[in-house]
Amino acid sequence: MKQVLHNISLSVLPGQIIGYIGPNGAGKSTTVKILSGIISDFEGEAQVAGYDIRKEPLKVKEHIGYIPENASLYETLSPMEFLQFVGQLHGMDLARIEDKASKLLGLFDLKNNAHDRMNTFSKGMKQKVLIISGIIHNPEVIFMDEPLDGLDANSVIVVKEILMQLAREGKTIFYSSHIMDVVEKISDRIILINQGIVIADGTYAELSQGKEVNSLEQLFTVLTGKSDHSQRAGDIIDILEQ
Amino acid sequence: MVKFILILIRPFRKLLEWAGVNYQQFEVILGAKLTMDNRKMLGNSSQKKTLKNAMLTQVIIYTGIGGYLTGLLYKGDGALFFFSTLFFSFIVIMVVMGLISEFHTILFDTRDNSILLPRPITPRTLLFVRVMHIMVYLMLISLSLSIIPLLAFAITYGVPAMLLLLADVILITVFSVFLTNIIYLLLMKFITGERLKDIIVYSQILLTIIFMGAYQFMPRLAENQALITGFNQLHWWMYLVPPFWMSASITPILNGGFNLQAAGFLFLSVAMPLLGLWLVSSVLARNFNQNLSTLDQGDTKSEKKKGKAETSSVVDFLSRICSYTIEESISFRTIWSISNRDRKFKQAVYPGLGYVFIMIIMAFVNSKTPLSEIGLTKKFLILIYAPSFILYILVYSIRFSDNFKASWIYQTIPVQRPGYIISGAFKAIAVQLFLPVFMIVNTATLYFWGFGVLVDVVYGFFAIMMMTYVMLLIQTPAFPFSDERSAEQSGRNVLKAFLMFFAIGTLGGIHFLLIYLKINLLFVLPVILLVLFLLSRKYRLTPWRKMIKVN
Repeated sequence: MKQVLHNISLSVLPGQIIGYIGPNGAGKSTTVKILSGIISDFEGEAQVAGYDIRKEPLKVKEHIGYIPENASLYETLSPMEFLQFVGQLHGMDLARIEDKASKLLGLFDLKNNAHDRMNTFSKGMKQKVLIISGIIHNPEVIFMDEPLDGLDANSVIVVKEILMQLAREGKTIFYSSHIMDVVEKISDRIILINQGIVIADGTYAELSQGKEVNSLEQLFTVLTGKSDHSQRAGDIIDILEQ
Repeated sequence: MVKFILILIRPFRKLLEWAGVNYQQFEVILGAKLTMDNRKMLGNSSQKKTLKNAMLTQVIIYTGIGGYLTGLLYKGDGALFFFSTLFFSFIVIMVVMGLISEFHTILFDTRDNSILLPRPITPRTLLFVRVMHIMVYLMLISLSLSIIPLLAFAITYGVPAMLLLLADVILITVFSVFLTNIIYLLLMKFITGERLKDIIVYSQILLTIIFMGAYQFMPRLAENQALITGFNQLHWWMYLVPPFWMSASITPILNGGFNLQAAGFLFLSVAMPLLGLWLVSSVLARNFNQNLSTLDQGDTKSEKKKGKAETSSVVDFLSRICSYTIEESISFRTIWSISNRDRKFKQAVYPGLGYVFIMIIMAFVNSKTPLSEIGLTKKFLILIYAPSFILYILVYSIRFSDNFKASWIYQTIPVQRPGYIISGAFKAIAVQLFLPVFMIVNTATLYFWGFGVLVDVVYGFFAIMMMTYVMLLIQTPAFPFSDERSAEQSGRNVLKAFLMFFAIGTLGGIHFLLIYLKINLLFVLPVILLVLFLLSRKYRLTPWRKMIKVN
């Protein structure tokens, strides 16, 4: 087993939106998978919603929602069937699921596709179903791994708004992403990891203080030590023109 | 169908709950899994086309196979031991094969990791869902295979005998699951991830070949009287072969003569499956699930395969001597590497390689001529033309791939004629897969018939190539690995297979006629070569407007 994360130590308060960022292969997904109980083979301690993930994994899982990055769902089912499936696993009764699911699908512009099999869906449509499946049981903590992947601009705005309203109601959102301007806008706190180590932790204002940056994107490059962009781009162009 | 199965399982609710299963979740997950199975043909990777009632279709097909088997082998009282042994062996083979070849897509369903693991489900519930899912699927196979044999039993021996057979069928299925689980676990212990998938594909290919061979040999077994009477003797090694447990205990029960030996077999036939079931659900399945969750984490170890440097220089050389243009040789090299590595391609094509040898062996086993006199016959024509079967499979399979989306690349490159690409691709797989088989088989030809038939072999080779180019030219050209396999295409396969056999037969017939008319093949060869040259040229110059638009 390769060690991906090193001494990641965090505590997150209810009602916070955490923007979890880092370069490719930094360990973002691994963190999210450990916290949502997908990877159980880890060292160290983790508590979610007040329960120890190792000792009471079921308690944790009852209180969380997880939205994975690579649109993986059972594509031969319809959105309604999939949501029924997921809802029932959380112990919701069928009538309530159906009611909630059809309203949510409607709000995500999927009303007409509610009973179509998802193997014909576009990436964005599948992503919408995944988002609903992660929140339909009204979890206290939501883990999201690149949730806006493939969504159109309107849906992105809706999801961002949903997240901010959920946070206002006291839900905790752990948001792992590459899209810096979304993270910058919605996060109450930004955590940057690189090669499995936390290298920055704080609000955007705190992190950018004293640095000559005007966006999270620029801050990201400064903090991950990759600020030689124009040099690299120049080299690439040179090679192309050889 | 799914509802029906779930209702059938419901009586076990108490038992499952006692074992620590959350029954409500159990039913929800199993229901979803079965619904999904029912919508896609198992074993068919095609995601786009889904079926309404795949399970029922499968039941009907297996019932038919069971009926065929019964019609062939069932001879009533006299050969009960023989029949039941073969029948139980067949179920073991089908179940193990089903589990290895078809079910791995579900066993290795890595979507489960992100969909099910974050939900509040105990590992125990998930484990029992997996075990039950496998059981349902396999019971479906073995029970539908048994429908006709069960009826035959009911007619010959009465209903109690039928129930006895039914119990044995269930027991042997349970045992086969146990057997396959052990095989899988051993495999997973020593190899990981990608290697395991390779091995699964190879075992699928092997089993397909065994199955095709068995299909050919089975009727001859049934006619072999010595073998059938030989079956009436019991041997010590029969205790080691599971199908004998069932057949050696069911026969004395129905035919009379139940003794201590039969009791021993009866004990094994009941005890071993139950022991297996217990082991699977308590010890093995736990390890199994653990191993499974590590499967999709990829090979971070040093297992990554690299294109071997030394072979690439050989391929380089081959690509140069086989090609007219640079584009053609580039395509040759690329397709050579892909066809060497693509599992689905191997899965589609390799069984055909095996089948060629089965066809040849069958042709000679069936003949009355002893091997010493074979040099006097014209049977070498079989050896020359049978391998062409491979070429037609290749011509058919080359366009398909699971990774068909990658073929956008062909649409974007500035190649004057797409013919260069498809011609290079065809040459690559022909040299890689057809040529070696042809050479091996015809080394045997030269051994048995002497160098006098060398002209025939050479003539045959070019005649086959000529016919293959005809096949290539009459179908709409498509880029290699650019299309998705789908269920509906297999309907047209039957027609294509018929055409193919017709073409092989025609070639052999013409060859035979030339020998019969005492026409020297050396006079005909130049004509064949000229036509071959013209056809291959035409294929190589295929223009853009002829290509089918896929994607």
